[in-house]
Amino acid sequence: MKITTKLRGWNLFDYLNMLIMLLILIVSLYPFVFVVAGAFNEGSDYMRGGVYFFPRKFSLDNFIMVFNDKRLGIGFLNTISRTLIGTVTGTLFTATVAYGMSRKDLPCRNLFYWLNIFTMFFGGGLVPYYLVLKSLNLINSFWVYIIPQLYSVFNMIIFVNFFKEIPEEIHEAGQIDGATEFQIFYRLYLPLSIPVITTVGMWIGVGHWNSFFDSMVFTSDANLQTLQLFLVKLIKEAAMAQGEAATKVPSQVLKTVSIATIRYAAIVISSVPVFIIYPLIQKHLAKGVIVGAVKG
Amino acid sequence: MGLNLLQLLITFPVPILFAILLNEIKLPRFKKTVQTVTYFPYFISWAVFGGIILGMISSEGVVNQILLSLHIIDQPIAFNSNPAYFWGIVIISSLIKGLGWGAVIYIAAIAGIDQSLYDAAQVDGANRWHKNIYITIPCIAGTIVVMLLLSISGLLSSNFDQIYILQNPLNLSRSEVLDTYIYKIGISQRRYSFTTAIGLFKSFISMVLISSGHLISKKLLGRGLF
Repeated sequence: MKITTKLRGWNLFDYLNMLIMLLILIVSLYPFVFVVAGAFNEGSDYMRGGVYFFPRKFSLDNFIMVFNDKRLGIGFLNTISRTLIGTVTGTLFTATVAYGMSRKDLPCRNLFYWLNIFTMFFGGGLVPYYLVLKSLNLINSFWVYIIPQLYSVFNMIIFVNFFKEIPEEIHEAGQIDGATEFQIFYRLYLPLSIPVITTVGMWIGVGHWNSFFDSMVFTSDANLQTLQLFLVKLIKEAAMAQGEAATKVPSQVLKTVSIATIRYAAIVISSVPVFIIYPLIQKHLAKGVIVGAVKG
Repeated sequence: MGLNLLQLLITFPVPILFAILLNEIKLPRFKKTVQTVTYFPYFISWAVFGGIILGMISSEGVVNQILLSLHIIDQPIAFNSNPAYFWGIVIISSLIKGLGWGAVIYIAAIAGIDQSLYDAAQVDGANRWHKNIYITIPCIAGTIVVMLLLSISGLLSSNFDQIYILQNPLNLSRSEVLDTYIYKIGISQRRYSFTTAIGLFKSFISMVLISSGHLISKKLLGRGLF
């Protein structure tokens, strides 16, 4: 049996490989198609089953229900603020520490190094962490989202590896010109580190955007909950229709909504920023990971 | 911990295979598209992704509907209320979410392999299969070992976000892991000393696991973690 190939040099393996890749693509993409279809579908119609790709009975009611819930706005506010503040502060803070660690003339350098490595593998556990935060008065405060995330050993190591690649001559040139260490860092090293800053900043940003655990465990104030925590509660809640949103929505809408589709609408709303930002940053990703991975 | 071990066994090799297969794709733009698309689920939180998965496996969701229409089952399977399915759900959802991200390290490593090695093998008459087994895999073996060691140290802890979202009172017999247990009785019930002890114990075992992994790999392969 002769296998005719349309493309130069392709054999059966190549076709199979393409098929596998296409399958992987579909499996990766489909969950999102599903949730968008469900979100735009009318609730009780969805519950009959069979909605896979497109909404069968188009409806914006789910979105109306979600937008009427005050907690959505609170969630967005908290998550956006912590992402913006936390990413900038975390990246700068970690980079500064890393600059110190990359200088060979740092006193007690080995000690700091081993302390860092130690915390990567050994931790006190959740409860001691909670107690420490409590004694610092961070429990139930917005800053519990920012301060613990200022520093990460992993990111510090990535920065250090990158700083080590920067030629020593630059540092010496700065010293000759009479700059302080801080100025050298700020004006010479940082601008050179843009790829690493973007990568690390992106990781930190994603971590902030997606977090619900610290919101759940370390805060009890409903005004501090993050967007993701709102979603978690929505998913775990038995019936949102009993919440305050019900009072703001006309009664005929209430009869046709279902919890499932409301959840989907909330998921879609929360993911819109990610969908928008992802294509913009993804060209930096490949470069950034190589920077981190080569020396990792 | 059994869940973690199984999860490790299944989800560890998959990104490696995926990276190797992806490397063999001959259309560069398709390659980039696949990478971009598979990379995307990593950025979605478990709140979002868990919610989607829960929706898909519910009685009116896709999985059940397809099984019903193919007449494989007569009634929708309640995937999430049945403890037996929990491990499967966790593993499959981990795979989908983590595939692109896990593969990136290996893709970067493969990209760093010296092209002349392949050319030399070509001259010696190697076909693609040979090239993969004898060049690609040995060259990224170092990366594989490091990733494996790092994963072993995480055997006792689990991804709290994922488990918490997918867990409910009905599947608790299979879905309660150390981390969720610590959270429940530590924070909610305030049994601080007991849960601290569990936490310390967990860290200690992780240390032992990673040190032994490091030593074993030093003995066997001549390289360790650092």
